[in-house]
Parts: sequence; C-alpha cells; structure tokens
Amino acid sequence: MKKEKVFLLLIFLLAFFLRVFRLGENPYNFQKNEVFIGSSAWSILKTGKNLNAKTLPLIFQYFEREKERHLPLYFYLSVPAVALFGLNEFSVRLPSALFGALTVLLVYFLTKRLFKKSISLTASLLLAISPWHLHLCRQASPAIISLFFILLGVLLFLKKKRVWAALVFGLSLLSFSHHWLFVLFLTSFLFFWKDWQSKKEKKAWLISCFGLFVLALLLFKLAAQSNALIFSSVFYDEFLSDLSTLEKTMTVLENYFDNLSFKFLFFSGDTYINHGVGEMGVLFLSSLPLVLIGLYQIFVIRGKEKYLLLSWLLLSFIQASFSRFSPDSEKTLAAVVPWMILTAIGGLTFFQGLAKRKKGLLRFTIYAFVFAIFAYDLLSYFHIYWVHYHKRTQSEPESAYKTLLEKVKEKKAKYEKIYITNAIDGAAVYSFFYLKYDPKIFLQEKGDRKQFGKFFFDPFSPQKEEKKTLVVTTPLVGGPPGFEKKEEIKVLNQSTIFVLWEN
Amino acid sequence: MGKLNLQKNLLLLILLLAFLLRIIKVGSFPPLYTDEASFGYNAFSLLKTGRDEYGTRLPVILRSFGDYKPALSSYLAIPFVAVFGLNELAIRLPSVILGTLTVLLIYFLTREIFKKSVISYKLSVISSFLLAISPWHIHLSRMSMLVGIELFFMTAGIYFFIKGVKEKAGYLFLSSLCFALSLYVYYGTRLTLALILISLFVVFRKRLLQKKKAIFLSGLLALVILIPLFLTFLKNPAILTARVKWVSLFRYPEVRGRIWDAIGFDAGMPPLFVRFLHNKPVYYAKDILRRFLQHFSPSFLLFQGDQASPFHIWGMGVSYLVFYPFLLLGFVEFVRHFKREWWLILFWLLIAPLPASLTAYTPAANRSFNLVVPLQIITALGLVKFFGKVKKGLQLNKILLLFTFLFLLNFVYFLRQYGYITLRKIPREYRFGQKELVRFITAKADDYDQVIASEKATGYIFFLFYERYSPEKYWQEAEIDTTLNDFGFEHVLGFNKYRFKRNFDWIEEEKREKVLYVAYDEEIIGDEPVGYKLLKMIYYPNGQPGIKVIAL
Repeated sequence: MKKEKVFLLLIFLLAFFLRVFRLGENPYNFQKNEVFIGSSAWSILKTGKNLNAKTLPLIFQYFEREKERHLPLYFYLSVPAVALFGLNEFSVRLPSALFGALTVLLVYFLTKRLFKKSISLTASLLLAISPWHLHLCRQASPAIISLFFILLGVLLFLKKKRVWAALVFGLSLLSFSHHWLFVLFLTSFLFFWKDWQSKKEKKAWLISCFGLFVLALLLFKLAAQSNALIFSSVFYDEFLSDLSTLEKTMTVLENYFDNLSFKFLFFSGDTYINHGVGEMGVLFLSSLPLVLIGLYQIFVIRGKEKYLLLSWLLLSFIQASFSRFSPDSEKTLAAVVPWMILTAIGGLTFFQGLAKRKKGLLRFTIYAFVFAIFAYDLLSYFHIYWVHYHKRTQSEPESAYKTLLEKVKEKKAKYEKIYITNAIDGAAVYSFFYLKYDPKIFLQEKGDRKQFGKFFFDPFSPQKEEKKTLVVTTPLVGGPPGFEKKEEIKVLNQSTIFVLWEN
Repeated sequence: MGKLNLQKNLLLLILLLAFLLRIIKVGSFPPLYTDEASFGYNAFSLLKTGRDEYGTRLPVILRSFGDYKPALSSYLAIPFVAVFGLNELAIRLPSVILGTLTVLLIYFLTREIFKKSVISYKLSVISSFLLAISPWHIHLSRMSMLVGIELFFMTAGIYFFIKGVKEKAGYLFLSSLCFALSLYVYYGTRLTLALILISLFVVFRKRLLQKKKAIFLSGLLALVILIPLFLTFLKNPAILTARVKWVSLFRYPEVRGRIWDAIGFDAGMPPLFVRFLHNKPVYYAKDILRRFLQHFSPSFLLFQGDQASPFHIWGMGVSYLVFYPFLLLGFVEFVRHFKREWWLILFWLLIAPLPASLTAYTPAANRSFNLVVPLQIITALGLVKFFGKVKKGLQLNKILLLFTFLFLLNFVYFLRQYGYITLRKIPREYRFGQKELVRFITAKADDYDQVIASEKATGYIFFLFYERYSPEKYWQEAEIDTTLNDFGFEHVLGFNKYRFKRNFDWIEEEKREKVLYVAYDEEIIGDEPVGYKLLKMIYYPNGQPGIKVIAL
C-alpha cells in the first residue's frame, strides 16, 4: 500500500516536472489565443473587466470580432497564475500544465476503480509521458482543463457523489465547447451503464445532468456559440460546397475512422504545428503491440467496466468528425485516457504472460529488448520535442512578435506614434501583452484592435509630416514615403517577418 | 441428403452471383487499360505467329513496355481470342473465370482449414459469399491485370498443399503445379510465394516429414516447370529485377530527405548521437512498417482504397463499411479461439501486403491483392460468431433484417461509385475513349500521310489492339526508343503512319498538311487553332472535353 503511494507520488512529480520545465520557452511560439487569454486575465485582474470592457464576462471575444467566442473557465483559471507570476508565457500556460499533471493522478484513481491496481499505476505513468497529453499541457489548452473535469466527474459519479459529479461535468462544459457532445454522450452512457439502486436516484441524476445542460446552453447563448461550431463543420464549410450530401456524410465517417488509423495514432499525429511535433504519432510507435494486445484483452475480459472504456473511446471522436480539419488531437483529447488504459492493460498482459511462460535468460533478453525499444522511442520523442520542435516553433511567424515588441518597448518613449501591421494576426493583443500595457488606461482610452495609446494597427496610412513615428510593416510592402528603413526582425529560419521604418 | 443439396445449391447460387458480377458488361466496362491491351495484343500475336509483339518466340516473360511482365495471362487468353477475336471480352475472360473459381476455392479452403470446427460450413459459405461481392475482388477480376489470375493459382496451390499433406500425397503435385504457374503470372509472387511456402512448411512440418518422397517429387516437378523461367533469367538477368528496381522504396528520396531534415535541426550536437537517432535502418524500418499498416487502416479498407490508376474506385475503399465491425470482431475471435492450423491464415494475412510495403506506391490494391482472401475469412468469422451469440427468434430476425438492409445500401453505394461515379470523376485514369478514338482515326487514316499523337492521350498499343494490326508488319515497322522513362517504361516512337510523342508540345510541333494531330484537349490550346479544323472531340461521361483530333 505504502509503496504504491510512493510510486504515485513519483509519477506525479515526473508529470509535473515534464509539464512545467521551461514552460515559457518551449513551444517557443506564443499562439494568438494564448496571448488573448493572458491579456484578458491581466485585464480582469487589474480592473475586473475584460478587454471589451465587460465586467466578469461569461464569453470572451477577440475585441469586436463576432465569430470566435471562447468559453470562460481557462481565462479565470489563469487570473491567479498571472497574479502570482506576472504577465508572461509561463503563467498563461500554467493552468494547463497544472491541471494536466493532476489529470495523471485522476487517471490513476479512475483506473483503480475500474481495473487492477497495477494497471492504474501503469496507465498514469503512460499518461505522464504521453506525447499527446504532454504536448497540449505545455500550451494554454482548454481541452486539458475540460478533460480534467470530465475525469473528476466520472470519478465522483463512481463514488456516488452524483450532485458533485454533475457540477463538475458542468465545469467541463464551461471550458471547451468541442467536448460538449462527448460530455452529453458520456453522461447519458453513465445513466444506462449504472445499475441503479432506486428509481429516485436514477431520476435525480437525469434531472441534474439535464438541468446543467440546459443551463450551459442558455448561459452561452447557444445560438451564437453553436453557429461557430456548425459553420466549421463539413456540412456548412464553403470550401466543401462542391460536395454532395452523400459525399459529405462519407467525409464525416472517414474523419471519424481516421481517429483510429495507424497513421494518426503512430506515425504522423496531428500535423498542425501547434498540436504535435509532426515527426511522430500521438502514441508511441513502440507501444503499438501493447495497444493491440490491450484492445484484444478488453474484448475478452469479463465485467462491464470495459464498456465504459470502449464507449469513452468511440464517443470521443464524434463531435470532431464533423469538423473539416480532422483528425484533430486537441478536439479529440478525451480519447487519450482510454488509449493509455488500453496500453497499460496490453503491457501488463504481455509481461505477465512472459513471466508465466518464459524463464531465465530468454525472459531477461526479451525484457531487455522491449525496454531498449521503448527507451529508444522515448529518447527520440524528447529529443524531437526539445530540439527539433523548439527550433521549428522559433520559425513560426508569430514568434517574431516577442523580439519586435521587446525592441518597441525599449524605445517607445522616443516615438509619438507607433504603427504596427496586422499581417500576422493579432497585432493589438500581442502588443498589449508584451508591452504589459496598463488595462486601466486601455479601458479609459477605449482601446480596441485598431488603436490604443500611441499604438495604431492595420489599416493605417502614416503621413510624412508626422514626426517621431515608427512604422512596422511586413517585408512584402515597402515603407511609407519619406520613411527610412531601420531594421528587420527575423525568425530562426532567417525569413524576415517585420521591417521597422522611422522618419 | 436434403441438407447436402441445399448446401450445394447455395454454393451454386453464390458462384452464379460471383460470375454475373464479374461478367456483366465486362466487354465495355471498365475501359480497356494499357496493360490489358498489351496482354491482349500479345495473345493475338502469339496466336497468329507464335511470337510476341517483339518477335520473340514463345516467351515466358513479355517485354511489354519494358517492364517485363510474366506471360501466362497472355497464353491463357489465346483460346478466347481464337474464339471471340481480339476484343475486351476475350482477354478478360480468363480473369473473370478464374476469379469466379477463386470464389469456389475459398469455400473449399476455408472448409479444409476449419474442418474440425462446428462452424466450418457457415464460415466457408459466408467467406465465399463475401469474396463474391468483394469490391476489391470484383474490380480486379473484371480487368486482366495479372493479380486476379495470380490469386487463383496461389489459393489453389495452398488448398491442394493442405489436401496433399492431410490426404493423398497426389494433391501435392497439383499444388506444386499451381505454385509454379503462379510464378508465370505476376512478378510480386516471387516474394509472396517464397514466404508462403516457408509458412506452409512451418505450419505442417510434422505431417510433411511423413511424406518426404512426395514432397521431393512434387518439388522436382515444380523445378521442371520452372526451367523456361530460369533460362530466361539466366539469359537476361536484368529481367529479374526489371520491375522491382523501378518501384522500390529505396529508389525514392523521400525517407533520405526526412533523415536529412531531422539532422538539419541537430547542428552542434555530437554526431554519434545524431546518427544514433536519425539513421537509415530506423527510418526505413519505420517507413516500411507504416506502408505495411496502411493496408489495414480504415482509410484504405473503407474510404480511399488504392489511389493509383486503374485501381481507384472513387469514394470507395476495397471493402464494405458495414462489414468493418465484423472484421474487427473477427480478429478478436480469431485470436481467442486460435488453432494451430490457423497460423496459415495469419501468415497469409501478414505476407500479403509485404511486397507492396517495399514499394514507394502504397497502399496498393494490386500488389497486396493476396490480402483479399484472409480478410474475407476473418470477416466471415466475425459474422458467424456475432450472429451465433444473438439468441434465435425475433431479436435475431430484427438484427438480421437491419443488417441486410444496411448491407444492401452499402452494396448499391458500391455499384453506384464503381459503375457510375468513377468514370465521371477520373475518366483519364481509366484511359476512357481509346476505342472510339482508334476507330475514328483508322477510318480517316487513308486521307492523311501521318498521325502524330501525344503519348499522354493515347498509346501505340491501343492502335495495335483495336486495329488488330498484323504482328509481322509491326515487327518490321516498329521504331522503339529503349531508354527508360522515370517510371521504367520504354517508348514506342511509332509504326506505319503513327508517331507517338512522349513530350508532345503543340507550340514546338512543326505543323504540316495532311497530318492528323491527336492530343488531350488542354495540350492543344483552343478548339480550332487558326487554320485548323477540329475533326473529332471525345467527351468524357461527365461532359468534359477529353481527347481531340485536329488537322490543317
């Protein structure tokens, strides 16, 4: 019993370390939504209002843009982090990293309730080092938060704390809209899966879940929110308008099954740069045999726990299948839990089978061989993440904002007006973040994405007569007439992102 | 007695279905593909002169387009060409007939492998039904593309081998005959067959020891049959690797490029460490594994299939979506109730995609065609086990009804995609319109001195085929450029009035009177360039202009 706790503690510490170590530096590129979360949290901390001057809002929007709406939980979670560690990359990513590490613990407790102890320790260890989970934990990802609450919800449900479970599921709904269908399906599944003691109990669960959903939907102005969800779907996407309904349906089915393809799982993963390292799958290739053994075992073993695991896996890709960009490792993040448990089951079956059948030197050789392969895979992954991916993200265009704005910050006193291009999306919010602009002043000035203080963003046309002006453009356009080129801002792969002009 | 009759009738019905699905309209659909035209013309040439298109006497390997195809397919077509003349039906009939017989063979084979099991009969009937309706098997049986015929000989060889081992040793001779013949059909068999033989010997090693003499003699028989093949290889060893060399994974820079990119990130790190992580053995092994697994992924099986022409059925994988859950269930049941003899199916399953995995073109429906048999058997196992678990009665009937409905829906979807959509989406990959084109030009050719054609739009072989051109005349007139192109093919420059240009460029073309120009619509800009007359436009089924013929 005691040994187990020590192991668990060690696993948690490993998970925590892997998620927090140099969190602000890798991934090097700070994405627009991360900057947006940071800036909003900063503003809420200082003024109680977000950048659109709404007091404690439930929906966050990029300035006045209508389409993109963000659920609030991550924003509020990052407020204390920003309060403690200041406005920087680290604090914005910290909620992800922290909740991610805690998810590792929850996987242990959940698996222990469903299966054997040894499986639960292995599953949590696997999640601690999982490229899929680790990758999203190291950026501000609401999916990580949502997964944490889903796991907590299921755990509380199994511990018969139903009201708490329903509330916690509600929190998950508040963090990530791409998990909505999954939560809906999962709570319905739990309803059918559980042997209910009394009708009253059954009813209470039904009502509390249903109530939460209605509440969530009302709260978040279903109409506006689901518009964004629907319009990114295969059926409404203008890029796919040539396809017939039958073809679209087939595309959705194909998207769904792509989540089960060897390519996504073991070879290339999510190829979007912010969702994966691009050189490997979301699971370790070396774990492929274990995953297959685990899948086989799950069909063969008795008990109804396996249905929870299988349904969890199969339900987790449904909502994402309707999206044009598929498979998406963030939208289908919930699948990581069953995959880890399956791998753990497979691994233990394999090693127990080995222990029973083979003896002495042969067994030792097989052990050594298996561990060598896994160690090699692990080493490759950490190498790719810390060397290749670190460099790759330094070449992302938005990485240039940091360099640019540090320069601007140094010299901003020199200028009366500063114009910054919006060619790399989010100029205003990046400027706000990196200049640590005072939110009170920002709100007083009624700042928006076009202008605050002496900063102006696209579209603009600086005049020759305006003296002491700094203009930042992309290299694709020349400087304004009468201005002199001062310097260029480059990213790691030597491509120029910004050019600074002054007169 | 009555039961036996029912069984027989059911099997006959399945065979009839298989035959109908393979024979109906096979003379006109799909359009004749280049390789098929080559087998057909060679069969015609062999029939008329005893020599192939290049004048070689009774070849066992056809030089064809420089890729040296094994010749048995052409020989098998000879009687049909003799009876029906040189046309699509005649040259596809061997594939159609042997494809239908494979459906029968899978029944007997499954029966044999699962002999001791109570579900043996159900499993065999369902397997053969699944093969009869398999999109993959239907498509490749309706074309004369080698692998359909190869699969027949391979399956027959395996079946007779098992029979020979378990029953009369005489079957072993039939088996070695089939195996030997399969080598005369398809290049990939050299690898597949070697591995299959090893597996057979491993699986049946105990029983084989009791039949040493028969094994030795049947092996001898195979060697005798293979003498002509060996002699050809000895005479020209290049043939042995002619095709392999061109499609091999190792010829393409993709993997090396990936290593190069990876090393690029590691400037300043210890070279030994960088080598340890990014090296050819590891990267190639991963790539081969990746390609191997592609053949088992939902994308290939259910949605995309093989994207290469002429194996691509638009919007369709190589099998049916509704059977996929049963395939997965089949795998589970297969492992759960594993018997020693089932090793064979497992080995077959794992060997089949291997040749394809070593090439740069994956997933491939033709090179991995052997997979179609074990996949149907495993799907059948899943089906039998699933419906075996459902209690008999109303519930079973309901599920069966629903399942049948879904299957019919899926089947209709396949027929629609295969017979209607594909030619509207990708007519060019199927060389649509060649027959019409050749007919038109042949009729007009007398009025012109020369016909200059873009090789993209047509090919010499279609003219030989549809004109039933005299082989003797062709031998004298053919001008051949033997330098191989990027895909390893030679180029026939022309014969008689016909000139075929590999890099047809309308702007560069010296425009002369009394010359017919044939090219894809976009290769000659404008319907009627100044002074020219559009004599013929071949339209694709989707109404798009395809190939055009113009003259001054």
